Amino acid sequence: MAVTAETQPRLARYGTTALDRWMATPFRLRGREVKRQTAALIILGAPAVIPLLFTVPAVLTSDGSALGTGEADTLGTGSEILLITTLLISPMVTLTRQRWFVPLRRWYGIMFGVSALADGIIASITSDFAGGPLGRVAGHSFLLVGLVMVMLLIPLLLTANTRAQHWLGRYWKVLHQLIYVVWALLLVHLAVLEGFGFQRGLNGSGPGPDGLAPLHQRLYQLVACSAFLLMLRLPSVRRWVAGKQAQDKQRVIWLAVAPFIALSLFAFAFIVHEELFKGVALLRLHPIEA
Amino acid sequence: MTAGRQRRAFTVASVITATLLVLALSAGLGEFTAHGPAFFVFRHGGTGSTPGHSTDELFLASQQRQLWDRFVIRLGERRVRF
Repeated sequence: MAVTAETQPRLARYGTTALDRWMATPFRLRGREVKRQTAALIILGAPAVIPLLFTVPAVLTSDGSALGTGEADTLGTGSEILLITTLLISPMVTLTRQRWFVPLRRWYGIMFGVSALADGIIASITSDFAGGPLGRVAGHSFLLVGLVMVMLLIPLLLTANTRAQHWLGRYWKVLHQLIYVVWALLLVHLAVLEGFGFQRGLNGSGPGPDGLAPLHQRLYQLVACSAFLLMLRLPSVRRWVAGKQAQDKQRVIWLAVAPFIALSLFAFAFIVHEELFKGVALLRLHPIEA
Repeated sequence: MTAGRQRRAFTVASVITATLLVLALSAGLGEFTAHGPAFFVFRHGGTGSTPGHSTDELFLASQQRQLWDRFVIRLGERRVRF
């Protein structure tokens, strides 16, 4: 159903759902009034620093060996998780009509940029690719794609604040659509980094082909997560969702997107597992080489 | 006034983005010309993605061996010809 003048008033109520109103109310914490939204945002936003925290002991002890082995997996996978969570906010607004969690988009985006930048800087110092610092960040096809991604993230990081938003006005959104280019480049980066999981010898994720490539390869995991994120950005799907919401048929929407959510969660669990497994190992300065 | 300021800010942001992009691509082009397309595209399985015993040096060494073998074969062919 198309969005009509009749459905517009309902759409205008974005940001005033029962949960949004409840989130705007305060509660008492140790004698102080704290807005529920603030508490929820802190709880949901705090995990975004975990990828960086994993690398702190290795950075503080200048353990180049540990960083060279575990940094790319920890910060790279961490950045991927943060990109997915950044891109998740808009579809969740479309699905739930709630807006209390929208500030997380900026926070996750900033932490994505910082993690990716840290990944690039540490890799240029500690990785064992031939060709000096430049060779370590641009010496192979997948490294170059990663470097281009990091370079594109710098202007996004610099303008990820209210003042820049004010200065750029309507152009701010145009500039920040670069995130979709970064998203596409991440797929290319993973494809040329690990191959498609069936190669032998060259450009594979290991010496032999991966028997369960669709489950193990980060490329496929990202594709599975991207399906849901992309679907709810399609104008036709958004119109359909708005139409069903106008008819109070929220259950139909959830039933339709449930398979995509299940697939995304399944793939996302593998990515998070790898991040925690390798990140904790790096935190203990015993990085995993497999 | 505001529109002009916004356009100027966007131009500055675009120039910065383009400069960073050109820097990255120049670095890639430099590496591409330094080691050749085979090294740029291929590497030993696992190098970079999951650190192990494979290194770029191994790949470069195998490339050198291949070049040497080709050179020796060509020399052999010439000897036969002469």
